Amino acid sequence: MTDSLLVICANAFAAVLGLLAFLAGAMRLLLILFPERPHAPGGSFADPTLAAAIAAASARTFPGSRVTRIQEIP
Amino acid sequence: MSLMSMAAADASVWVLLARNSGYLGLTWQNLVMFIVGGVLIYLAVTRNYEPLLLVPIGFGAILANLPLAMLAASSEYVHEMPDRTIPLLQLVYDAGIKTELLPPVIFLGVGALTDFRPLLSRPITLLLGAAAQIGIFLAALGAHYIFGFSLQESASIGIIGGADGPTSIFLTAILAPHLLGAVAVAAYSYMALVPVIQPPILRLLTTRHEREIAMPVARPVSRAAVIAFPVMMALLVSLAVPTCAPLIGMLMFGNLLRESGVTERLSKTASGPLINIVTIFLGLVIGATMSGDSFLRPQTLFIMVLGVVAFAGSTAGGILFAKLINLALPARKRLNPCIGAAGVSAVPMSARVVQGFVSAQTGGRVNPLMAAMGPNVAGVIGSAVAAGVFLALLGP
Repeated sequence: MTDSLLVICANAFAAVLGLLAFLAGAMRLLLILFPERPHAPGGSFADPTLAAAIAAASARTFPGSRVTRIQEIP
Repeated sequence: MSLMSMAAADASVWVLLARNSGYLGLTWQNLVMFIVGGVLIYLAVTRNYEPLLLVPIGFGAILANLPLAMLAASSEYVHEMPDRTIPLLQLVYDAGIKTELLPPVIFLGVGALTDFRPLLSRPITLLLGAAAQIGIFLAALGAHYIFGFSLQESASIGIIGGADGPTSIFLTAILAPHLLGAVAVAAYSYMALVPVIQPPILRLLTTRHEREIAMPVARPVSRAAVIAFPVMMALLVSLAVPTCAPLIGMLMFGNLLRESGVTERLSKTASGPLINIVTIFLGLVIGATMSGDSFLRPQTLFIMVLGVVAFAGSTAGGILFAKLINLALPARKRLNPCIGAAGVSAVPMSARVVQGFVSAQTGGRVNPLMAAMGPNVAGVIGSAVAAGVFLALLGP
């Protein structure tokens, strides 16, 4: 194997970028295979990350509580 | 016999006690390291700089420099006195660092604490987490070609740019264990300094128009996808780069415990008591490697300088790559390039810094916290993969 760190680093960076690009593709495939089903009107909230943040904040303020419904008021 | 005359008669006892006292054995290096340890504790307590790590590291550094106390730990320790037990922190070092046990257990806890939904909902941000590892390689090149470090030492120094303490410790313990203390202190110090290091680079590399880009709401992610994600990642990454399997495997296992919804007790243990216990031992033993004669060398100063280069390089890499991706995206799908800076890992501080910066620059109109969390958690994966690649190419 080469002793040149320049060559090693260039290849290592390419490997990291290539592998993570491949993983990004695999994640897209995962989302296609397991799509989020549309919820009934007035049912669950659309943005899961926001819902998770609201649930976490609620649990911190009111320990033991559970968020069952979030409604966005336009 | 009076007390005075007894004391005089047994003066030899006092001489013996004095000879065995640490005070007589103190060197200037010990004193300087007491100050270094004190500064780390001071920064943790008063500035809240990574207190969970810097307090144990600072106190460990003080313990390691107590003469005759046998509380230092070293990769070069040889058990020369069979009649004596192994020194306390050396025992922890041998059992936890040499065996590569502690960093992966920390990753288990990190996995149980991490929500990968922001990444899953925008897979493209995984690329930002990859691009933001470029600082690792820039710093490694600087370490080798400017400061003359060996290949293995350079890789260990470069990994500071991954902004991931356990990954830095994992790689350095294998490739350059004699640099462990300096690399860990640099990694955790600069992680704490992310709010100082990143905003000027964000200001320099982005335009006002780019900071105003409000990214659309991310797509929803199903529960099945969230559960399948850690299994898929552990398989694909570990098959591609087996040397990073201890880190990625444990990270993803911890995340599976969190997301499966049926192992709440295990998830709580991994993200609570277990990670806390391991953090205590890891911090203390890293501090214990910082004996004055090994830490107070010009190399430590070089490592601190290179650490800044690594962090700055990674931040710039993430931002510039986001701008590059934007060239290929339609206008409505463009990324706010500021989120690329969060690709340096340092979860969640880096994402919060990006949010604070963008929010301040746009008068609160744009608030990309969730968008920045994507590259932020991608950075954890990216730095672990970079460490694995280095191990595969330069490891024993």
